[in-house]
Amino acid sequence: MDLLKVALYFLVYPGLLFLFVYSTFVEWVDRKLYARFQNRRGPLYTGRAGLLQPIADFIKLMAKEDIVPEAADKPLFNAVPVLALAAVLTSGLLLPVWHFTTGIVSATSFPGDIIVMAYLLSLPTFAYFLAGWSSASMYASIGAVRVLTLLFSYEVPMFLAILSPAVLAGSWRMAEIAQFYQLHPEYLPLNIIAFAVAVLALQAKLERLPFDIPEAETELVGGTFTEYSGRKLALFRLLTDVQMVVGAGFLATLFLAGFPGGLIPGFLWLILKTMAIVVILAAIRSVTARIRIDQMVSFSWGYLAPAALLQLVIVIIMKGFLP
Amino acid sequence: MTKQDIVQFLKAQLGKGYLRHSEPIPGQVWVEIRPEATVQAVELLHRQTDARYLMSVGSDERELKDRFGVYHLFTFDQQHFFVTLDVSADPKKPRLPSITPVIAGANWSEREIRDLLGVEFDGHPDPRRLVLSDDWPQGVHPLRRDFDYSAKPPSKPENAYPFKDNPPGTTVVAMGPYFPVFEEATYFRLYVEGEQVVDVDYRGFYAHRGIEKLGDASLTYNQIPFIAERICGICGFVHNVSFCKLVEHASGITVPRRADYIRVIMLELERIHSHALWLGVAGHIIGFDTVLMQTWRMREPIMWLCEKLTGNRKTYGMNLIGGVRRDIPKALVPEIRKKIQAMDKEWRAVLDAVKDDTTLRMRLEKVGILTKDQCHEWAAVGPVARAADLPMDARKDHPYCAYDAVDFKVITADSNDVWGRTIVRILETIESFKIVYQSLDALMELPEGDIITEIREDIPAGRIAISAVEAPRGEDVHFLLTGGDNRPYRWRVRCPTYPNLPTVQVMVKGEQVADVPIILGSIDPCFSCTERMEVCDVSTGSIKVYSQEELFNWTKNRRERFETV
Repeated sequence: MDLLKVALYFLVYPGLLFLFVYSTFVEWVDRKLYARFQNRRGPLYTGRAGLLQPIADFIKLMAKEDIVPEAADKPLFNAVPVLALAAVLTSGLLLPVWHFTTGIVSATSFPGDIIVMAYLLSLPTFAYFLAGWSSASMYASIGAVRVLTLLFSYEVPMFLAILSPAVLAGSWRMAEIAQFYQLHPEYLPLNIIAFAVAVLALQAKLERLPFDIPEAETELVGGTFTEYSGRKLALFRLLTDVQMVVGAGFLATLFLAGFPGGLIPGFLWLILKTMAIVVILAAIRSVTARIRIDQMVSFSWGYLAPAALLQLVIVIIMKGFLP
Repeated sequence: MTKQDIVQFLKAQLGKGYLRHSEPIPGQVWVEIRPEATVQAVELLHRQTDARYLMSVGSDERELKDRFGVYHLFTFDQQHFFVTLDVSADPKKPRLPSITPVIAGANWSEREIRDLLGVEFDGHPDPRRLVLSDDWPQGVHPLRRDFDYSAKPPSKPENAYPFKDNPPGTTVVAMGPYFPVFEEATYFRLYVEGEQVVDVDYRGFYAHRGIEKLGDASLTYNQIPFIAERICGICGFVHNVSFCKLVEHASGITVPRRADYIRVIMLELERIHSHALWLGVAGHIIGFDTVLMQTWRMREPIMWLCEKLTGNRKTYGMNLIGGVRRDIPKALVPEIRKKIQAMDKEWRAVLDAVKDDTTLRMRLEKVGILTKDQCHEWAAVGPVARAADLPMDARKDHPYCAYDAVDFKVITADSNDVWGRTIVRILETIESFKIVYQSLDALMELPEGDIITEIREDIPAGRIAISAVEAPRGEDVHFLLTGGDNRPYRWRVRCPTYPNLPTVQVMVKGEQVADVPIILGSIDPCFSCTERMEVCDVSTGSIKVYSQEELFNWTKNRRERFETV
């Protein structure tokens, strides 16, 4: 029975199957919203209302020719997409979706899993850097440098932002943090600044407008992914979608009180709360222009990091007054 | 300074270098000078008067006057006239002093003359190839009269283009010859240090089509307007009108007033849809695709309107020498006005949205600086110059068609940057709406049907004319020397991108790599679009052209078919 449960956990929910299916759905929602903001129809033909379009795109890309540049560092070039996808899928397992009691500590929920989660979500960024660097192309190299610069801009605000709900809840375990806010929903608005910072940092982590600086197609052709094609590119695209799901789930756990109420209500909460965050991400994407890397650095350190610090101070002071 | 003052000034200063002057067409002064006096004369005009350099034209006049003629064209915008310096080069060994050290903007003109006619310019700072392809043999000059327009010289691949050496410590980033944002082939070779552009080199003219040669050697006056329209996919009508104005100047005929107004309407519709297109492309370049989608949606009704008026979305084929081919009936005027008013309303909303957008301002302000002095030096035109507070506009400076009778403002900005160029273009479009309204009013008053003056007599050889027409991208200048066999002896086209493109090399130095595409985009380099679908059944050879309704229904049914599966 336990074995079955583990298998279900890893392969079905919240493991491989769920992450794949839900991430394609999220991509569809994102594309559809982006299109409607622009007065377009978005995906229409594949499946009902184009629902299957992301899957069709994935399959088609998987079947395309896979080219590895002569000058590339081939082992690294080939390994990077797989490793990065593995890291993101692992991080998906840490989402506290089955932990309705915090009594049991398991391999997927333990004190300090919030740190592991943040770490696993950062791994793909390093993979992007390695991908660009190993391609031996000038566009990819510039993209790789930009990936790192971008990482140094958003990572600190991101970490500071996820710190404040944890400090207020007094726990380093996601399941406990979520439970704390389920018991005290009135404390949720206290973290509103951190939530805003975290959403922007997540947008940057996903390299979406206005922060798609490393892969700016009009400047760098495809940036870090210039030399990638076929199934490796398909894996990268899948990775970004899964990362969006896991990132949204991560923020929903910390800032929107997680997914309470057993299997079915918990599942519905997960869909509802992650979707709310995806809608915000899509809206940001459709009303902004791409900013420059130097502007990104000054924006992060000038606004995001101070805002997150301010939030932390507020939370620490409030903690003194709260029972 | 008046025309007489300029002539007296040149005469006094140049002394023996001055030969004679004439004014064959009112407002177009020709001053013949000795080759030795060229640099001095150009310096006098460029530094001590209000003259603005337009272009240099070379022409092979060995049959006519046993010489190579080189014309340096200047305009006096505020005083509304042109001055041309006419220099002769030796027919056997043509050599002339270069004026590029004085006016940086003459760089391309002189290199082009050297490539196409073989006139060498002494003291030219950058005597590399410009127009001819890399494998074109040395010493073959295709625009000479003795070179047949259909001749194909043997390929000589050894003449590869010598790019500049890397400045120390830099790496090369290639933008082009094919690059996502460039809709046409062009090659900007960036020398970068980190993210900063240290130097830049350019190679272009990959798509040189030899249209001028066709005009000089193969086509007649009546055919050229149609090929002139195909010079550009977006501002084709401008080239068409420019050429027709040349011939109308040279033959001295007057165009009916109604045709003038119809031309103005078409020119302004072209400006409206071109600026809408530009704003969308600019948005796309900096990743703001919502701008692209929304402005192109607004642009679409204007394209349909153009099709209704002329039969085509673009490349209207509407213009003829002496007038236009189709009348705009009075019955259509209310509908046109309604469509323009709808766009007018939406466009003002765009202006409000763009004006206050934070990320747009972050990307566009203080980027791609080109100051007033640099504009003068490089002879920049159009919105690039107007954003540097130079109020030049051929519609006001050299009024043509009915622009003398309509009321509009020349929009300028003083920020010298991409943001200024954006705002200038958006506001200019609003002025265009006003011009269209006024022209429509005029159409209601003028009698229908009077749209063309026919030329009864042959156009005599040896006449010279200049015309300037304000294209969406800046002023478009054409030059004509009439020939004897019902075709030009020399026809030269200077589109507005020609003087603006070299300024990109000035603007990108010291900027970030990320800004290069939008800086290039800010001069609005041309690109063309094709529409409509033609389906040919190979087995029967029958051709079916789908109409708008059929296409719409087709997409609709396709969607329904998939939705019901």
